[in-house]
Amino acid sequence: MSSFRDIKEYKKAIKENINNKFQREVLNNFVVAYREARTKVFKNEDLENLREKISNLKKSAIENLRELYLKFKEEAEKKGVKVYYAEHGAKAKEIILDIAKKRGTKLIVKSKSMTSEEIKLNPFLLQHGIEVVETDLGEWIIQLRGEGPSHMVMPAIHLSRHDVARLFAEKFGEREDLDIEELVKVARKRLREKFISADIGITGANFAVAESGTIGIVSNEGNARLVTTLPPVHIAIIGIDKLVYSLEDAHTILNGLTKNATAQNISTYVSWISGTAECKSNPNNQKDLHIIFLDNGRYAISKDPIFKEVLKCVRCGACANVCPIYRIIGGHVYGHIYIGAIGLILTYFYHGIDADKFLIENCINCHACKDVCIAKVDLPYLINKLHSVILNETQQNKTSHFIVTILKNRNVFHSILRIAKFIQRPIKDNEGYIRHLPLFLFKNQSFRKLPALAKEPFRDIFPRIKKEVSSPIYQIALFTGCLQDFVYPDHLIKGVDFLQKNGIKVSLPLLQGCCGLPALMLGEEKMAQEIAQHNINIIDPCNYDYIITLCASCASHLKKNYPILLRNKKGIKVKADLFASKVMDFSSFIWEKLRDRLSPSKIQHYIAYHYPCHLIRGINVVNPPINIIKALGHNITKYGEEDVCCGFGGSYSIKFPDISKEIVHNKIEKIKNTRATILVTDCPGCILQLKGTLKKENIDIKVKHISQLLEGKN
Amino acid sequence: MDTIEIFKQNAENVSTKIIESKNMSKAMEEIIEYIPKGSKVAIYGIEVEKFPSLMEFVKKNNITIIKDKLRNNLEKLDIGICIGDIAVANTATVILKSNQEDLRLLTMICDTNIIFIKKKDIVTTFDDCILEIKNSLNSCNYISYISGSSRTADIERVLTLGVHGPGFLILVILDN
Repeated sequence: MSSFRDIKEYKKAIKENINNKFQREVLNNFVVAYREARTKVFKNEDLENLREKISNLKKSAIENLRELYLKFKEEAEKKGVKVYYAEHGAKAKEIILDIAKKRGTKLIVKSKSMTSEEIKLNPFLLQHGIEVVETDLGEWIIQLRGEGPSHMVMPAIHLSRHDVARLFAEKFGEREDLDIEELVKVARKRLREKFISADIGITGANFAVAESGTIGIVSNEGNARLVTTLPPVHIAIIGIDKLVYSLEDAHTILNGLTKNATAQNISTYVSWISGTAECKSNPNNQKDLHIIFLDNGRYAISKDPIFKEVLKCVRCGACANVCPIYRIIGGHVYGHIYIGAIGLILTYFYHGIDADKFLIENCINCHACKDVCIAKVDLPYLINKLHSVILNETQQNKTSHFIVTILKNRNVFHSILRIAKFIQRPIKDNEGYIRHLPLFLFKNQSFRKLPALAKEPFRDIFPRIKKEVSSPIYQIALFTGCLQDFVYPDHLIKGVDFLQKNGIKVSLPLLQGCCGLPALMLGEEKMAQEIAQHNINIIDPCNYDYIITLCASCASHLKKNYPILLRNKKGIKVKADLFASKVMDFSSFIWEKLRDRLSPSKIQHYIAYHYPCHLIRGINVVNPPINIIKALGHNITKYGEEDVCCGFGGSYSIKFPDISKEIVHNKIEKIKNTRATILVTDCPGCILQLKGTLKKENIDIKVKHISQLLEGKN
Repeated sequence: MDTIEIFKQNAENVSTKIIESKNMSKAMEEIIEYIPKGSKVAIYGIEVEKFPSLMEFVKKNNITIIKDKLRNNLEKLDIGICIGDIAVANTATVILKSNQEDLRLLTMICDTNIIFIKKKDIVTTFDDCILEIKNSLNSCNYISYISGSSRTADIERVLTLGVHGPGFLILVILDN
């Protein structure tokens, strides 16, 4: 875990992890197993209600951190505990060293604590001549190897039994062929000796309950119980964001935490410590208990109107478990110790901009983390926001600024695209793919075939296919999205054809620009705002019943992000809300308004469906596309990863082609092994990624937009 | 499904062995088979002398009984026997109000942990006992939930029992 000097070094580290076959296999198996186990463990739970409850109680606690801290202190001190407030890491370390020195401490045992790792406690204590031993098995293993964790809950997930056996052989002279059970026995024996001879036990805590001055510690191995029981001194170091009002609140979190983290009903051990329990190794028979609350910027975050959300995190690690990028690259290419989507954000606040500035780019905006988060933290939104903050601080946004200026100015954009069409002629092959790419523009893009620009953009075709619909059922405005307008006009032609044949009057306001999502993804929030405002002016929601788009990314951006982007613009916010309320994705519109016009196709196919991230998680559309495919008489072929990102993510696949390639291959591997002959989806971006990769790999599966299934229907 | 059935099912899912027994005397007879010859057994909160069948077994099989000062036996303890205060069926959890150091150590350092729980102390969910726990926070400094054996999956995600604490948990449900 370290900061990377430049993006090149960061990408090199990523590449090494991509090539780590063992890690890849372990993570792949883990991701699939986790998904299934999580579904099972939440089977009898009202999950949405639980998430809402956790989110609300954390929100309320964050608003009142000071008050909760004071209450905790008062209650805990009544019970003989010494309570401290450390403004930052150095202060916390000084407090701990002071306690240790007074005791003449030689050995400290620790149970897993992210907070202590956050402030780099171990190296500090070692410098002062104190031996520190981690007692969580995974933490102990990586400590012996001198590494950082690669997962918040399973820190040694990147290592094999052979790695561990070799380590134990080298360190303790054990046999090199020990199996896992024997390795665990070695740990039990060796660490038991440490528990017995330690002078101090240091833990973190999962909860600090203010009403009774109680801390709650969750563990599966039970090391936390030994660390808190055997040594005469117990020091707990806790982020102030772990404060809650009541035991009931803590229990609500506990219920979600263990299920979301490891798909367990409850962790094996939960310890509630309120005050100084009996400890026979002290002359007064009482434990010497110190509780240090670490601020380290948390209180300031709690006052930030946007980023206070991150303090809702309960450290379950689920955002890594579902992240398609984590699945490929593992946890050793994050900033410090905070891994997964939350790591992209916390790293900036706790470890600084240098640790985070490349990391923050590495989000594909698939929303899987937002969906799984037990505290309902809107991670993709916060990552976008932070990206923008970091770009402003580092002023590394010159290239993207240029791109955004083009996106906003539709005339410039269209002219460039028209020129590009001529330029691409010599490099276009017979089937409409680009043969070679100027390498300086797009590095490492050769894993998929890229489509050439269409001969004629949709905006030029529309006047010819436009029909006057007498007494229409609905009047709609079509929002085309750049990719369909200029690369895949056929999606729109088929879609418009079906709509017009079924009594829908379609308008195409020509001055519409890009939706603005690419700008937001590049961290250009201001530009995204201007683009949003422009589009709302051009497509006045008062003039149409609905605003329809065939691009899931556009749909989710128009519907969810416009009102947020324009929330502070007086007057315009009203229009943005109305606009957003009228935006519908194509499949939902067809299924909700025109389902009786669907009839079985002449030829029926085995069809696999790919959920665009921005459809299923962006705007929570689940059933309409599947229902349409079934209504057309086709057979839905399941492959288990329908809702996993395809790895496109717009500019993401240009920035991180090596990762993008691995993500799409994971997906295609699953589909390849089914009977499906057609892969259908609702987003031109996904189509570009999937179609291009299948083509490159010579796999005979057609990729279609759902509108292209409606051919010839009346 | 009634509470006891739910409890049993969830216990099975976390490899906890359940024994149902009419009373303490009968229970003592049933747990004997889990106590190896020559083993060290710690017992907390139970007057073993009241159970002649157990005492006889102890004498015959060269078993050492430890009642306190568990700190002197930290390296190796075969069996730990104690009584739980509350149990929660939904998660197969036993709750121990364990102010006393010996009780905490007993449930951690032994290889096999046997915990008795009265039927009347088993509730379905944490909601059913949260107030009792809450009230205890003022009188008891250390409350432990135990839901299965000490476990790890830190090496290759392979579930392994008995990493720091007991590798085997037996819960004995007593009718009264």
